[in-house]
Amino acid sequence: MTLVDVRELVKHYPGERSWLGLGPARASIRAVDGVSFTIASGRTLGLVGESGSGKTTVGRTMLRLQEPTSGKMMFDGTDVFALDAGALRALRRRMQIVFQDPYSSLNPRMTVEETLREPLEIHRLNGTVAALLEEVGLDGAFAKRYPHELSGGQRQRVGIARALSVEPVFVVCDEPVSALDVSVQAQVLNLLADLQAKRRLTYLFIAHDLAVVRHIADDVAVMYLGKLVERAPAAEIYTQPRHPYTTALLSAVPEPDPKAGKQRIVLTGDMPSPARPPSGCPFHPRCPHPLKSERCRVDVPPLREITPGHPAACHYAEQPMAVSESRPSASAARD
Amino acid sequence: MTAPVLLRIRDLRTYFVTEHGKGTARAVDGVSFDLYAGETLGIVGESGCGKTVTSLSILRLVPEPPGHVLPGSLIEFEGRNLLTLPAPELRGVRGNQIAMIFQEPMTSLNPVFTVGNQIAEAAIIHQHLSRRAARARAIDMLRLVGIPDPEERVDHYPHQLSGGMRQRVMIAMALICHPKVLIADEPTTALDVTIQAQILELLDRLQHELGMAVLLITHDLGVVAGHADRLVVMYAGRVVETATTPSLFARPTHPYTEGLLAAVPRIDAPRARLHAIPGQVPAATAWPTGCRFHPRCPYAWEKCVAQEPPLLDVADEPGHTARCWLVTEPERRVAKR
Repeated sequence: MTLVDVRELVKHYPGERSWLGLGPARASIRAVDGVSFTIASGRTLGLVGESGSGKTTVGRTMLRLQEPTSGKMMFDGTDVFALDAGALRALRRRMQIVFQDPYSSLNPRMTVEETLREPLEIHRLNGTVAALLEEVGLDGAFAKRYPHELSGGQRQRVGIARALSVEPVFVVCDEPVSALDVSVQAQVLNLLADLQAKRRLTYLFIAHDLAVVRHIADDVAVMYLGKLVERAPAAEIYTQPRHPYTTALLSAVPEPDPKAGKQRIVLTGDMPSPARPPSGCPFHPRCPHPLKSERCRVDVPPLREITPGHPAACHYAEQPMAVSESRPSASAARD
Repeated sequence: MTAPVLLRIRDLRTYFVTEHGKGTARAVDGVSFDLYAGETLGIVGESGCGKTVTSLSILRLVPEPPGHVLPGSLIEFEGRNLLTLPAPELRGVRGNQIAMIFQEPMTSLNPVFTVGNQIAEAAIIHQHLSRRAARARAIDMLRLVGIPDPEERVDHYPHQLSGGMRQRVMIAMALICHPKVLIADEPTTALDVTIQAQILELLDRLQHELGMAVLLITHDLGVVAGHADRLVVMYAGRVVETATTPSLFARPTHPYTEGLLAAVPRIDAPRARLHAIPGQVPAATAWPTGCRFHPRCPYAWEKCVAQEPPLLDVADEPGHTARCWLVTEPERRVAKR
């Protein structure tokens, strides 16, 4: 059953005016530019992309922590973008978020107990702080502590407990482990998986790390410059990527195995600015696909289904690029 | 190893007085290793293990106070102890023969000077080049690190460059005097994975061309697997394992190394629970007694609590050492949990 249904989500930030706000407006930033996906109840969608791809904006806009420019977000049959403030507040109980940085997302002046008690009181729930702490694997003694007395992993557990305190069904996890050390990252990923199984949660798991996503997601969507470029079941996207950006991203992950001797596609240049996206396919200036042509520069490739349940936005998705076929990379970086 | 030792570090101890004067954080606590000419040595560990303080100590960049390097520590470069070198002589080494790049290219460049100015500065100071010659050299360096239109870019300010470009500028700055040693402290951690691949490829190429030794400090086992010749694993201010890269990955011997390798999410592995090391790194003001890893170790027994093991040679693997009693009693490698 579909729990979350995002359709044509758009979020543009207006360009700032130069000259102390008196000059002409700069081009608007097209952070999210027509993104659609669904998440079935109890499943995890991994949303992957590099900085500036718009993945965090998607998560925040879905919960209306930022107002969308246009589009629709259906949550369990309710149109979230059409709700008034009161109805939205009630719905927030069912949709929660875990933030990336456990250092800045907890109030430094509140003890763990105060942080966790607040949502319980606002929503008049029966849960107890002790039960929440136990659920996220923290000793009851932590209730009296302040955030600065906790390690990064412990803080993130408190962040998870706070999100769970109102008994949500849908949780946006925005890079929940990227600030953590490897050994602690594994603890928190396992905890998120356990909580999902126990509470039948649905996750949108936002991350830049494809290896982390592999360990938690059922489906994976890849973003580039505000657009979805590919979406597929996890097992499929890692073995049969259809979009050359996905292929390049997968090949760039450094593997902890000196024998892997893996072939790498080193993409040239940086991601262009979302204020001035390239014409045609947004990826074409960096694309290493051997079939790349004039068409890529002119026509925007739509996200279209290549095999059942596996859409990709590439004119040549039927002939996906093998790593060994990529065009030799020039050593110069370009903007 | 037939290459000569360039940098010899022995029993390095760098301590910090904590904020309230209540205690001493023993951030680096008796670290020894050698860096050979031309090699890449990876120093691996998690936050708080002392890897960054080690690298800062080499060039005496630890702020004093609160930090201080204890007497008895040795950092020998070309026969001289850098720790006791008078300031003018130290300046002749710093940025000239030993250079460093940092994690944050955003904060380590000066925003009010052009990148050309910042790159040329070291050549003017150390090699006494004229401004004009140094500027020409800066342009050459920008070309070497793969920045397009270097004649134009040389007059740009840091804010006009992307994160990857800034890290290239940092590398150009570090390499302008052709140092013998480059210390790279988490050079790609702040970068996206596709940009990280570019920078690592660039460092590999430059090392080949310039023949320098690289001390690569990182938390990422994936990065060292592809780019380091030898590895030093640090935990709680100590070296816990050293080995060649293939040997370390094939036979991780210290339980911490073993746990760390198992905890890394693999892109080629199917979805599964990850191995997690229980607990967390202890505080540097109160390291555990005995082996500092024993509270988190699945194999620990009484001896580990009572007595800290020295770095022991792993049988049949030259250069592979581990600070673990399991080397002498391998039959105890049976997890209790």
